[in-house]
Amino acid sequence: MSLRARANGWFERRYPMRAIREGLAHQMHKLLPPHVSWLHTLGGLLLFLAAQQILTGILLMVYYRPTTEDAYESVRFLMLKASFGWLIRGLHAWGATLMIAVLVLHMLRVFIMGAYKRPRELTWVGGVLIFFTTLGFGFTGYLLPWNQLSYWATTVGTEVAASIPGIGRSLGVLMRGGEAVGQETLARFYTMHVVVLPWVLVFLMIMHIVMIRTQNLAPLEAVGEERPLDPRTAVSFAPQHTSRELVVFPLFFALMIAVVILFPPEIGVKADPTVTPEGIKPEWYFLPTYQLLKYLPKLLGLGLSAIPPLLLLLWPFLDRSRARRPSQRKLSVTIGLGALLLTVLLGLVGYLSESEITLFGKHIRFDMYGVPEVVPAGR
Amino acid sequence: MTDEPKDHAPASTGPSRRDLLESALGAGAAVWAAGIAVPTGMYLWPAAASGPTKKYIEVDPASMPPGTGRVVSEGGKPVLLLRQKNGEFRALSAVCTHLGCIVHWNADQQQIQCPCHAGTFTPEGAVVSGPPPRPLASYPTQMVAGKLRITI
Amino acid sequence: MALFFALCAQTPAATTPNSCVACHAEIAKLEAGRAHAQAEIGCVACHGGDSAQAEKDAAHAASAGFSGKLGALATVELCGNCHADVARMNPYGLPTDQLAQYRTSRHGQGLFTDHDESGAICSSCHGAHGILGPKSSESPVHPTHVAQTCGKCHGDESLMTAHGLAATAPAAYAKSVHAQVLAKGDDSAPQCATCHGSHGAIPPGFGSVAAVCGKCHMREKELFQKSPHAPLVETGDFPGCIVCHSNHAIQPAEPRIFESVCGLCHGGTPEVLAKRDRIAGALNSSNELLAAREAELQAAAQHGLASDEDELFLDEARTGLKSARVLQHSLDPARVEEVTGEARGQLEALRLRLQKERDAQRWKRLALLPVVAFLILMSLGAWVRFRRLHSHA
Repeated sequence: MSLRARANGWFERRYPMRAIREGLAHQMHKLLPPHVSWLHTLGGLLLFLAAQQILTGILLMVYYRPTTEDAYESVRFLMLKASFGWLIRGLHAWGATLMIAVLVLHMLRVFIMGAYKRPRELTWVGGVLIFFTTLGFGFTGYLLPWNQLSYWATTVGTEVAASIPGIGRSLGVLMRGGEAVGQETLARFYTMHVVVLPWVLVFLMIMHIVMIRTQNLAPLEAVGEERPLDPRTAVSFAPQHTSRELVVFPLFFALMIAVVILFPPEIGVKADPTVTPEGIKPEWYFLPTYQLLKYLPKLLGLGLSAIPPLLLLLWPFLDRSRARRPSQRKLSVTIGLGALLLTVLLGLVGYLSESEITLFGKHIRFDMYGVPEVVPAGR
Repeated sequence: MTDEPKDHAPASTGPSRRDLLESALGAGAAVWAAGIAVPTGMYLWPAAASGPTKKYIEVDPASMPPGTGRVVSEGGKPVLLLRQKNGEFRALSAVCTHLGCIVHWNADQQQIQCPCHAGTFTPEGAVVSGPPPRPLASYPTQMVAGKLRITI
Repeated sequence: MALFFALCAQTPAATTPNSCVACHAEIAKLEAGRAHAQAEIGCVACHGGDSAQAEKDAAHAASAGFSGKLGALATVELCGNCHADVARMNPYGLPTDQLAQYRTSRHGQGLFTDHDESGAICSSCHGAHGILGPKSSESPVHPTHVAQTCGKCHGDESLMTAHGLAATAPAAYAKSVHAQVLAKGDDSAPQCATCHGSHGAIPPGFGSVAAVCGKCHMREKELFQKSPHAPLVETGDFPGCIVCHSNHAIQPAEPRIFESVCGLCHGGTPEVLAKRDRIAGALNSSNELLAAREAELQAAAQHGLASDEDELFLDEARTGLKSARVLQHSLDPARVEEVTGEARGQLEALRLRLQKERDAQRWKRLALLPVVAFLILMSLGAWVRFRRLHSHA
């Protein structure tokens, strides 16, 4: 027996390498339904992005210091002095934004293809929870550079939580670790961002992937009419589907590097609790909620903005129809697309509100409700 | 997967072309990995010595006779270093609390003066007269290996 | 009944029933809790009469020493009775020289020498009832209100014309840099009393202008006194600071003053104007450089491309230019150029640092091309592989 075989045997008796390898090979060569398309690479892309966020996040932690004294300076230091620090922060910041964008597209794909239907309701619920967790990453991570924008966006954001009737005040104090955003808030957000949320995300992703692998990707046939996969038309996960993902990943990475270099994330001005800058706005993915809250009296707005997330979470239990093909469930698809359109519109109005743009030589100012008003020339 | 157009081409070109592609892609992946690993390594290598860790100024005590003062600056913070008659050192922020001019030591009057609007301070940094609203902030000093170290 | 009201309306400090309040409730309200009420200085102390009498005629009886509203001279003497009395003021730590100072002021001279009662007396500035100390932000003599208080008379054209004065000073002051600084919340900024005095208010004399301004601008004064203009002040040919800076409407000290002022006297002496051009040129061009670097640094800082060391260069240049602006009072072009030269050195160093950073940005963009090309190539390779793997289906 060769030395190598003996070593393998020794190891095999202590660690079931072969069983694991065979299990993995089985998963790798699993057959997927024939309609698997480019849109199905979005899920894999999200895994790629999550891994990138975790890796760049770990690298950022090497220089970052979560204190009000040092946070801003340490971010500035790693961007300016540490080699390629600008690249790592850029990838992390843009990665967060792109991850949310890809998440929305992925959810849209699943929604339109009816893939959340029985027995994959929990896969959808888990996915929505992953979406919320990612938003939590965005909210907590935004504060960490400790600049004016992040400070005041967090002040406004936690204020929203604090205005929930009953528990709101306690919730606000709990989030901020005090009455105002300060050192305690930074420590709490940091802990959430680098310890709590990553574990929650990893757990949710493992659950999500386990469910996908055991139930396979949803076919297009209606619930109860699924046919067994035909090996002649089915697509193998590896190497066929993965070959598709390999086309997408480099392109996406190229896009990311390009935006990082062409539109580097700013660092802004260090947070100053005594000076409130004008036109404080949250990150783009919170804009729709932010704008909705403006239109409605606070209480009603809070109650109302809690409905879309709940609808999203519980959608598979609300939509009990059997059909999966979008052409056979026009109402459902219309509701989904309508909700998305409304969200985008609200976000757009939120983006434009309290700002001025020049369109065809005319200055147009939008008030806080997004109502446009033409500014006379010469002002 | 072994269904290259065998009828139209010599059997050998199919696999060799595929091998070429696979190895090219493999090499590309290796370049990609290196392109990630090298910047990461460079990032992790301790950055410039003037990093955020250095938050002090070192001064040779012999360069300052008792009763003198001068402005030293490092890392964006001008510091007024005074040596009292008894030989002790005192380090104060050299930024006037009125409008931010750089104060200086008047040895004749044993006072700190701001050249802009006649603010005067005691050697301890307290306001004697003039517009400054607050005393000058002070920084701790200590002797380390024969050098005076001002922690800012 | 009246007594009942009086008891209710009494200030906490008053111990004896005060019937005045029954009719003069508004005044009582003004006095409540203020300095004189706290010191138990009641109505009678100034106006005489008998506050124990419930009937108006009895309370206002001349036999009880009722004097009613006081005349100007009587007011000044009345206030002085206490406020010039060292023994009475000592417990409150208040000065006692106000009356003596007032006698020396134009206001006091008018009252005591010319018997003109239309000038300012104590109550003109401090008010009659509910008087507050100058440290109270609501007091009419608090630094932020002085200009308004003086302006009540000194901005009144008919009153000023009657005294042969111009009523333009308050409006001019309101436009000055001093008023702007005061409005920003710096209570140490000069107002009327800073230059003219308060109780001893008098216009600074011809020769004392430099001394008055030099109280705060001491370096400027020091340099000016060694400048060629200084001897002319002694001889009365040159009124000092106000020639260039004016008196009330003092504008921010900018080099453009050189252009508008020097030529007025030195229009015919090109060598003086050449000197002026050197000083103004050095300051102007350095200020432009400073502004340019400031804007660049701010833009760079927004993107995290500027360190605190960069800011230090700017700070040092800014401080240097500040001292150069002071140094121009020496009227010595060489000295100004030396200091601005140093500041320009700092600004040039900063420019190079920022330039280096911008170059690095350009390199990043250039490096983007091959990186993206490589990744697209990878994707194309993967595409070929993908086509091949799907071609059998």
